Amino acid sequence: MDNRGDPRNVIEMMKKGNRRGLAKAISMVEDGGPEKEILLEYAYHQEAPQTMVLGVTGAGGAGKSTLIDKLVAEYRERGKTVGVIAVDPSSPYSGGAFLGDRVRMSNHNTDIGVFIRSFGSRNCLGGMSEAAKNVLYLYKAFGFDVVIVESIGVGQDETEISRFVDVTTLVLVPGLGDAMQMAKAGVREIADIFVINKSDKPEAEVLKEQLLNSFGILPLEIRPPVISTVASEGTGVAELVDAVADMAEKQQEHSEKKRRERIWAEVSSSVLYLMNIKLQKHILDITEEVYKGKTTPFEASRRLADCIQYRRETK
Amino acid sequence: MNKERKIRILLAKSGCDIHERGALTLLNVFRDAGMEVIYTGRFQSPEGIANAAVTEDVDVIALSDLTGSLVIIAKQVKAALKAIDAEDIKIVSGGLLTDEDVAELEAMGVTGNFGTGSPTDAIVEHIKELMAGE
Repeated sequence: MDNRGDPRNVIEMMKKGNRRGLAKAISMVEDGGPEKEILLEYAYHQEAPQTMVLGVTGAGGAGKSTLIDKLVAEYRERGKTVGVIAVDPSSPYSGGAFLGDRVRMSNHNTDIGVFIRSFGSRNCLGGMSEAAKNVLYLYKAFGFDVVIVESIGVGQDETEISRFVDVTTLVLVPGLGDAMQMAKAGVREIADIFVINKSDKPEAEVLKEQLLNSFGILPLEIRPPVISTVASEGTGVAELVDAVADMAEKQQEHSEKKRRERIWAEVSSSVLYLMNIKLQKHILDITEEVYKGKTTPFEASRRLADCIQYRRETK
Repeated sequence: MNKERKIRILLAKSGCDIHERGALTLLNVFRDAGMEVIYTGRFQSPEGIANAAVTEDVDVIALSDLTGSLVIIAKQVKAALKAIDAEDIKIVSGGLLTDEDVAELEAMGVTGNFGTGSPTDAIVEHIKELMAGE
């Protein structure tokens, strides 16, 4: 049932700015195989430097989709084209997924300056599906001014997204926990900008106080901005867009470091992904051996890991 | 690197129909059948549905409506798909249907056409068959 055709045609379509071309290219990358390699090879060399990638993360129900809907509207108002990558969880049992982020963003369905695509996580931890990371290249090659990545609302330990985007925003809502939650490490540390959504609720002020307190003795100039929003009404969205622009500019100073980190994250993630597929057969073999008592899990896994030998390319 | 391609469905509601139960039920049914289903929400325009179907690169658009307007909606969505050169995306429908509606929809190339109370297995089966022909 593969009628997707030749990736080269799809690339031609993308070059002409055809949205269907981009949509098909995304599917090919998501499904993997030789087409994926060709498309990523093309996209990697096309990367438009002006694209700003904004990550939006936070717990489920925090209002990420609604906030993105309003962010898109604000960026459109400012004359920018916007691509959205919305990741929702896939079912671990059936592999299927109900992708519902679009429901909140349906105002933009008829706007051809906006491209929204929903992704099932397809059993990847860390909030961003393997495909979504690769697809970022396609979005950049297509030349959007702004790309917004919404990641699954896992909550506490969802730090991977920050390596793949330019600016990470963490969306918090009042009523989810006290100061202890604020003090926890993890996702809180990766946020460049904090958003307190549903800030018309009475506990919002307390949350803001706690958040500001949690910055402790950080010097004022490096404290992340805290923006209060009411996404459903659009309150605070323009301020957020301004804060994102400021932050993106500030990030330029560390762009070298950030680029290294991103390459590192990308290579690690894709190596682990490929290894996982490649080694599955051996892991099943080992499982059987350990089950029969022929070896220990530690011994067998070390033996397998020792087989990997990488030689640096010499040119 | 998924060996088999997942079936992607856009579940869409157009017009002024408020009745969402059928759509919400099917979202779970399709998910449990291992498909990726994207919901547009209610009150969508035909053009919006066509655009969403293209950007999501779905195989099938599933139209749900319980106001007795499926023929009109299907016609509009088909026209909107044609306008953006995406006629190859298949359309199935379900909801409140008369026998005349079903005949008209079938003639348009809209398949399935499940009335209220249809077993969900039959709906999943129909989509799988539709995709197997690809």
